[in-house]
Amino acid sequence: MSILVAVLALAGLALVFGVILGWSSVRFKVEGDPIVEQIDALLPQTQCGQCTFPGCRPYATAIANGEADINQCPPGGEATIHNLADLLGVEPKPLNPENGVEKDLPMLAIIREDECIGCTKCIQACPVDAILGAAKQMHTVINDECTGCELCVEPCPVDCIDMVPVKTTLENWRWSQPPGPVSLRGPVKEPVTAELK
Amino acid sequence: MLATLFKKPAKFTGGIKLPERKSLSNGAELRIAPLPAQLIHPLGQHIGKAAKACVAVGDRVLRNQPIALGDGLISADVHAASSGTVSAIESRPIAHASGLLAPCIVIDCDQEDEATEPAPHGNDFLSLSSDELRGRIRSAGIVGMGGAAFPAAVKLNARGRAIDTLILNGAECESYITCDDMLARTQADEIIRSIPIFRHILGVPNLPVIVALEDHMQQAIAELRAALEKSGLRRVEIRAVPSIYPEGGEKQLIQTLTGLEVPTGGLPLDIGLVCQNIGTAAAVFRAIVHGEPLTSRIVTVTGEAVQQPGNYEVRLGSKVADIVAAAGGYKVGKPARLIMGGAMMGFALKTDDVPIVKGSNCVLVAAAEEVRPTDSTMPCIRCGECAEVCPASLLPQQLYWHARGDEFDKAKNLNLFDCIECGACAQACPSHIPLVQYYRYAKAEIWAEEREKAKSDAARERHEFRLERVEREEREKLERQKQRQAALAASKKPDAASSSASNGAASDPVKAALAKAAAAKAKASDSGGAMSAIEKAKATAKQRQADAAGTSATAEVAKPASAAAAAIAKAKAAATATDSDESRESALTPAQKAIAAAKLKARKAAGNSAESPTAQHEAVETAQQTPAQLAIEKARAAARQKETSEVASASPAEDKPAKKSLTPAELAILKAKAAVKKSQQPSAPSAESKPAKKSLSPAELAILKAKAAAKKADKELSTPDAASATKSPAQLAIERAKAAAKAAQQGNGE
Repeated sequence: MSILVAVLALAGLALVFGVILGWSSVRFKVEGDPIVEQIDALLPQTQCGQCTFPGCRPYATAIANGEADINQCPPGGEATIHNLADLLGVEPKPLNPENGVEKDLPMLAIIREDECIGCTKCIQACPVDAILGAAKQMHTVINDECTGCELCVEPCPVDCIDMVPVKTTLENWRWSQPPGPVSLRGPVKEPVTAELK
Repeated sequence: MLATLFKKPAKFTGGIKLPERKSLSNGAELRIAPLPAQLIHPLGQHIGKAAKACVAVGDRVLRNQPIALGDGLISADVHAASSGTVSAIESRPIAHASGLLAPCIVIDCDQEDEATEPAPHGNDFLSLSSDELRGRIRSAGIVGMGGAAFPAAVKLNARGRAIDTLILNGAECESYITCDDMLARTQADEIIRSIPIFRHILGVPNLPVIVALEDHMQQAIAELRAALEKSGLRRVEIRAVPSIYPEGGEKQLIQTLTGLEVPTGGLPLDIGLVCQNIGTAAAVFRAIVHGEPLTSRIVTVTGEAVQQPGNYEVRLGSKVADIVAAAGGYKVGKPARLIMGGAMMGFALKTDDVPIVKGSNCVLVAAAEEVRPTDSTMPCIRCGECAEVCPASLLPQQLYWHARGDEFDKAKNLNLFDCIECGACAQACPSHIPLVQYYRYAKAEIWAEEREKAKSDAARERHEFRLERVEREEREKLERQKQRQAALAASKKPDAASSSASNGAASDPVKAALAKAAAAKAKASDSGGAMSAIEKAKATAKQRQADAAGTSATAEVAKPASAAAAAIAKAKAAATATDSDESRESALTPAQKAIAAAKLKARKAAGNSAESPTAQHEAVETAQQTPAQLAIEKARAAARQKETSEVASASPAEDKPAKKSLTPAELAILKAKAAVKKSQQPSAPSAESKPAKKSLSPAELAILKAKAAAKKADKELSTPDAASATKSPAQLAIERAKAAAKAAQQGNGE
């Protein structure tokens, strides 16, 4: 009799837990792979393809699947590699030179509008639709939307697209880090003094 | 709440006693700086969006005339400070720590100082609504004159919150600066008379008001008391607060006066307080009662390296050089640094060409002994002096280490953004570490990171939208193709009947040729012979392969690689498909091979002409071999359409010739013959198109194709019974052909 009670009790418990687990697997189902989202959020979204993947999201997916390394993103550079290493719990490594080099300054595409023939090739190449124009009409870059990916430079048949560093304005100007103490970092730079008339 | 006002004055935490050095400038009377030859009015003199210029170069402007209008809610108008001609609207150096240029309106003064009619004004402001009064303050261009330059009208909007105290801040705590002291001494009446205006705007008639001054400003306090007595206003208190830096900070003054702390990230409004600088109060009074916009202010010109330090009433837009000249000029060999603002919170200017703006309270011409050499920084000894003096109760030392190590997240978690950048910590630091610079650096980096994040999110959204759009366009293209085929199938049925009828009459040679080709094709496909079966299977395979190539090309388009590259890939894939087909089609006649090749290329060219001239060109190169082949290709295209219609409708007219059961060999011969005949027939009637075909360009080819399609479509339309049923699909086909031709032409035009 007692064995029957035990069996029934265990069976009952198994049933209860089975129901709970079954219900929660439906209720708390995770759509997609959240790690891809997290990786994608760390990437700079230039969509430049320098990582050899067609855009940031495919690269994020490849990293998540272990098909790509974390050091293939030149626009993100050092900072992105560190963030990815932190997220994935791996050792940061230097940027893979095969993918390109990190630029010192953020860049921006500028179309020399007098020379533009209106071929729309750059429009088709732009991954973020940041170029405005129509066939046979002059094209121009929407500065605020340009990610500096350089994909429009190569297709241009008349080479009228230049990559220029983003201008420093009052809005994006930053204070620089002050020079450290003399004894730790060697001699400091000349102080800024007023040039008086 | 009222009880808190009468409590023993609380003191804010931290703070530091500074050497005052105020006697340098507050001994002399207020002097009026002469009108300069040129005024420079930056468009962005305030927190918020820069104003938009509303005058043009060459315009004559009068004093008090608005020359730039506020853009958006948090912005302020700019007014000409004297009469003259607008000589330029361009980027000029402005008073900013970066030393960058910013857009300015430059006025060459005519020294007549002619003013416009004053704006609506008067003492009857009580009859106006709060919004109207704020509108007038806004259009007078008044911003906070204590240095922050936040638009006053925005700050005076209570937004439905209960206000229980108004504070007029005259506690000028920085060393050297005495402009508020001077203002209270000379314009006490205006400051006191602004109180009813503020009360009316805030909607509390008996609002308690505290006018706070530092305890050393005895003369100013006396003047204000006298003015208060004269005005007869009640519930106004003039309070002397201890001179300790940074007493004049809004949050610190509130804590001293009321014992309340402004919450992190909050505003004084959140705890029922409104705080205005006394300079702002005087400006509001003048704007409401006299209708004068903000075009001048009192500026302290001081320091050991200027001849006559003192307070000067200066027109906004005067250059620093002008007011230093008004103060007797620089002492020879003395100036070491030119600072805009006070010694603590000011910043070094790179040039004295910059204009005085609404928030400029002091120009400090410092001699070498007054400034700390920047190379005196020593390592942090963790003494903790900085934490003792921090008025915001932060941990300056920890913030310093994090900012130095670029650990901005940690600095942020230690409430970096509660730092008011007063510089008390740096002043207290025995190692002379420029702590505030580190905090400014960390803040700027965090803001930059946030901007980048916002930008990359926007880029991601745009990219995803683009992918979706490309996919949708591809899908729509396929649908259109299907529609067109269906339309052709539908229209071909009656057309086939009419063509077989006209076959006997032989009225139109082209039509006859088409019909013959169709007949040959029908025979080939419906004979049931082994040959035709093979061919059919191959055609299906080819189609499938082409589709596969198309799909892979579509996937490639998704890559940000250029569409042209994708098209090339597509063309190449198609070419491979052709190659393999050809190798398998060894049993076929060379003519058929050519036909097949031409057919495929033509299809490709038609499909890709809009996107890729390269692919089209490739196609043409092969198709260009002989005009005859071209004709074959044309005929084949028609045949293909026929085939489609057969599959769809299995018209009895077409079944007729197919019933003759031929052997595979006979079939092949017949087909070849038909092909050759075809190649000759169309060339006879279309003699005029022949020379054109010889020098074929991609565009011409496409046009030809389009013409053929159009002609066919016309014919279809001319068939009476077909006209009603298939009009719109036929038109669609014409349009598509024309569009393709045009695109090809454009591509070729390059």
